[in-house]
Amino acid sequence: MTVSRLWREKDSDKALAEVESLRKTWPGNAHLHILWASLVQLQENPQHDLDEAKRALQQAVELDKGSAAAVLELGHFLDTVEDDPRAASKLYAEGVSTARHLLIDGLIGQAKVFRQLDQREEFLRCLLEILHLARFEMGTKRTKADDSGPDIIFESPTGHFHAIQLKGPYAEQIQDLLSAVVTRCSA
Amino acid sequence: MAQDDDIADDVIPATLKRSQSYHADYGRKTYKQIKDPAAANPPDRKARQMKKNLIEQTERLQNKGKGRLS
Repeated sequence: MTVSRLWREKDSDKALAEVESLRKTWPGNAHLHILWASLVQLQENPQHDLDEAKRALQQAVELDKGSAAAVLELGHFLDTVEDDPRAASKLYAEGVSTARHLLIDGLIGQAKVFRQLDQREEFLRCLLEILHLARFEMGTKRTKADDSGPDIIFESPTGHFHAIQLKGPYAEQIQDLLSAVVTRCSA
Repeated sequence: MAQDDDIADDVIPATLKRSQSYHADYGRKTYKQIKDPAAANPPDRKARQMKKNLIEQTERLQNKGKGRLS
């Protein structure tokens, strides 16, 4: 990709011109708005100001609400350029949560594929990563009434025990994956 | 990665020099002369802002061209 090569060569003026041309063709593409805002910040001969870069990032967030990239990029901007860590922290929290969902989704798909292919070691590696990530998601949804102990105790091949409460958006899929390896369940 | 003897003004792009985190009176300082007071307790506010601007944003954006787009 030309933009990538120009960016690598630190020719941000030409890279910006390239992205501007692409943005005219695909004005609804959030990623192009992020690239544009990033390149504007790297200009040695500024043709745009930082407010325009911020607006482009805000537009990217609006265009692609389910994407972590735009939210995180705006978070970086608010923290470093505007020195507003309080505003940035809200965006980072949102972006991290969205990215975690995406990663869990990908790992669940990967685990299912490894299970089909009988690649047990890779399957277990994915499963452990899913459990680690999903714990944060499930933990945030837990209430005092829910705090009655784990639904499942899972023993990993290394002999470590993982206690899990199966709640939240991934409970059913995790339950399905665990069915291949669960050693003990408590009601 | 910025080196200790890099001058802040040579590293920070012109657009980012318009940021409120940028302080012209620190522009001729080296990275080391900025990062040490930025890490002090209490930190030098201007140095901390310049370091964030210099390191966290400029380098991160430059590195985006090497990784995510290729």
